Amino acid sequence: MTEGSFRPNYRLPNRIQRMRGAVALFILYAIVLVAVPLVVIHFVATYGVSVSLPLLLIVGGGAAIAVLSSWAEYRKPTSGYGPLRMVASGATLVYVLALVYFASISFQGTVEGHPIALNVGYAGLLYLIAILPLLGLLSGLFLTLQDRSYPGKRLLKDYPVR
Amino acid sequence: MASSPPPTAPSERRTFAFYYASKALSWGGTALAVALMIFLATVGYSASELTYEGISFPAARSVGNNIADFNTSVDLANPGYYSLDPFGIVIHLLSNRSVLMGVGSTPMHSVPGGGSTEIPVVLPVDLASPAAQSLLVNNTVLETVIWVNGTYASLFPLHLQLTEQVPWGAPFHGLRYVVGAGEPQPNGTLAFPFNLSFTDDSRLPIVGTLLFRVTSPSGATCGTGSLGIIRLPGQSYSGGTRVYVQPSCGPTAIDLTFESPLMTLELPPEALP
Repeated sequence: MTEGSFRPNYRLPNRIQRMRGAVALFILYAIVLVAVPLVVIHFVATYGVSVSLPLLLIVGGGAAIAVLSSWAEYRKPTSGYGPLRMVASGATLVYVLALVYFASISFQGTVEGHPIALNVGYAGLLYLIAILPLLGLLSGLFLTLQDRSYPGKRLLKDYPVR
Repeated sequence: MASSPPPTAPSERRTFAFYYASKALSWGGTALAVALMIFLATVGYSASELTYEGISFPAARSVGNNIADFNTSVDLANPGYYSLDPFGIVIHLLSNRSVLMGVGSTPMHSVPGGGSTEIPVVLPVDLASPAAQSLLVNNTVLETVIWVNGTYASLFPLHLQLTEQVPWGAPFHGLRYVVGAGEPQPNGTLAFPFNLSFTDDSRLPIVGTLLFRVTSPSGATCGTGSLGIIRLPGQSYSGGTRVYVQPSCGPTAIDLTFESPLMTLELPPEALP
């Protein structure tokens, strides 16, 4: 086998493909974490349901997670992927734990002629959800260790030649 | 020639150990996310199936030391998948002037998923309190404020405040007594004809003695009398007697007290004609 006929057994996406993937992920995250919550909060408010979440936190936190996650996706073929996933997951974890302080939904209105006030907390659910970024954080840590221990080897798995 | 395992296999496992661990965590996260979504969907469905029947008031009663214990109950149906545990109720009974008349509460209950429960609440009302005095003689509408505290599906603490209007039937509804002009008696006293009528619109049987006392402007007793009364809920009473007083006493008002072995109630006083 001559040097000129060498074929790597992985195939990296080019910069444009990675950019497309990152933008798609950013749009997905922006919709799920920012647009949908804002629409839902506005919608339920018309029925007297108050979700005591600061809009700035939703927009800021959601945008930060979207940017960090899509940036990590863009850097997937590099050794920066693992640390970036850790940063994105860490930001998500902080975001979810910040939401715990505002984790209540209240309703004031009239049901069948009776004045009613209902308050439901969901901090416990958020603690459960916080397990997800925690797993992401650990996953990013292992990816970082993988890339430190065997630089470049991960590409064989992530971008195999089909 | 005997075959041997590929020499690269253990090496690959070692090489990609961190990668596989990372992937396992990612898949675990995905599975957890899916499980959470299913959980949330079922919680939402189950919570929408919760139904509450308003309190029945008063369903029954017992009286002692002027305290009427109204035994009400709250019916709750929980046909969904998750329990409401723990679950407690506090009820405040307010007069039509928003004066607190009684407080009832329950110990913490558990309403399992797929079940329903009827939770009894005892609501003691002090009938001798100033706030209750007008309620003895006037039918009205009272307000109950119900607080429900509980945790649904082990994760969602909920606090519900519900206000309900409940009709109140007075035990001496429409109490009316007419005192006629004093008639001089041979012994020098004055006899005041005294007629009394009311309807027992409560669910309390009225069994006792109505004591009346004619008083002077200084509050001194000029004369006394009594009427034995037995009336079942919903029955009307109409009856009368005479009260004899000394003219020198200067009778100006009449005080009424209902006495029974279980309670002593001061009824609103009335001026004499």
